[in-house]
Amino acid sequence: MRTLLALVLVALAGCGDQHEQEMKSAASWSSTALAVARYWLQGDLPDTYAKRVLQKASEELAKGPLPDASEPVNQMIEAIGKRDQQAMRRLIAELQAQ
Amino acid sequence: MKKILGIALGIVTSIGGFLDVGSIATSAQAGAAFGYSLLWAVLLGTICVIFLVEMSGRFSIVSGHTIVDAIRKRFGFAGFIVPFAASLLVNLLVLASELGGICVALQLLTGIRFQVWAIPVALAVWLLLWLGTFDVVEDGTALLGLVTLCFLVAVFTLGPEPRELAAGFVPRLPGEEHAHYLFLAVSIIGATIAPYLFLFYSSGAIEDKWDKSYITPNRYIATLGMSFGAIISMAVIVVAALALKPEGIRVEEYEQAALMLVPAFGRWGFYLFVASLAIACFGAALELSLASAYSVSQAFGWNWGEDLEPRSAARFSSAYTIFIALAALIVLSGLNPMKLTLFSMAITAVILPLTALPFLVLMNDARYMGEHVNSHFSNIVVLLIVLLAAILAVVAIPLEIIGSK
Repeated sequence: MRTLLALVLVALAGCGDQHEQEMKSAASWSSTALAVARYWLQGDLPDTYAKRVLQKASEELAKGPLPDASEPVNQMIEAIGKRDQQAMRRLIAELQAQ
Repeated sequence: MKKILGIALGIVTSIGGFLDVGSIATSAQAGAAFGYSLLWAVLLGTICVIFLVEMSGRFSIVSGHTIVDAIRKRFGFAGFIVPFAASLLVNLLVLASELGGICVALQLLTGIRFQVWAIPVALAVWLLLWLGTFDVVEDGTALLGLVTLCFLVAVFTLGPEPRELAAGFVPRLPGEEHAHYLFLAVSIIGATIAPYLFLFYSSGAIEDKWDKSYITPNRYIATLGMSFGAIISMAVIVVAALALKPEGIRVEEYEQAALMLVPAFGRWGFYLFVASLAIACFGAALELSLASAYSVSQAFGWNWGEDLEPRSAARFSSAYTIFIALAALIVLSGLNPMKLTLFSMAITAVILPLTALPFLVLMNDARYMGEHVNSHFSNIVVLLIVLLAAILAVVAIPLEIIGSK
């Protein structure tokens, strides 16, 4: 019972800062976009799926605390449409820099 | 020889049918966010579900009753209606999650929004139940479900550190995100000890006409089938921990989870994930629809049986038809499938005592079980795990809601 009470108290204390959660989510979507771009370059992902995930990542980034990061992700979608691997490499570097 | 083959098939189908949308979603999120540190939750849930599944098989073999039927007779309608209504409601949410899982798999493959797939997927599930037999539903989809073994192969390909892996079986709170950790722990336990699983198993034992000669095979099927099945669930955590966590990817949507097999299998990894999600959810959707129709029919004393022609069990067939239609409507509403799944699993943990405790009373009632009543050890293990999961769920669900706002 004492252990359970401790768990409850610890959980309450760790209820979490809203801003921190949003930052983690944005960082995760940015990492998702990077991984998708890298795997797409290696030929490991179909275009349809890659574009859809990047679209989702762009939407999530645009409404979070890192809205600027959505721009290179949008350009990644265009790069997939044109099958432009060089542009994709440049965009990966750009997103990593952010 | 026939019995050995039966045991082997039972174990294989338990393995193939173990993974469902709940296990995939909770394990993927747990591995990506907390590495191996929630492996203990799968272990705890598995110990409990082994006991419950073995008990449900033993109960049907010895008493000749299904669990629902016996609870209604033993406790009367007043004592029966609350657990019955609660389990049906949770079944509906979980069925919607399973249909959502299939729709998401199709969305990953085609790029067409998951809601568009809700009706065709619901029709496919309904059609198979309408035309198929119990063996087709149980064995066919579970054998296809063996594709989920790809997660186990991925573990060996990615090669986790054994010592770190072993540490994941010891519960300890992480440095941060305690509320989310607890929420995932109860969701994993809820996904592992899904009540529909043992209600379905009990009805299956009656459908397959198991007699007392099946008491030992039932024990092997429950123990080995559930254990090996749980290993696949653990493999999902390990693969997510190795493939997604180092990348900094947290699984908020299925789209992110779909990347987890790519490091191990390249382009095939994506297709294997999609196939695993679709097949595991399809099998579970069939079982859930049947389990719910069994419950309703047994509750009201209607004719029931998947092997009967729909016209011979019209109300039974109507029950799963309505159930599938309602679940499809939930998917059509556009609720986020990942969030729906996680909350359905956590709520499953909350209502576990409502279904498991009356069942435990039955298992200790000599009028039903004769000399095959439960041992004290079985009672204590199930009681402790079920109550712990329910209490943790009551604490963790509001915290998760507050934390995600």
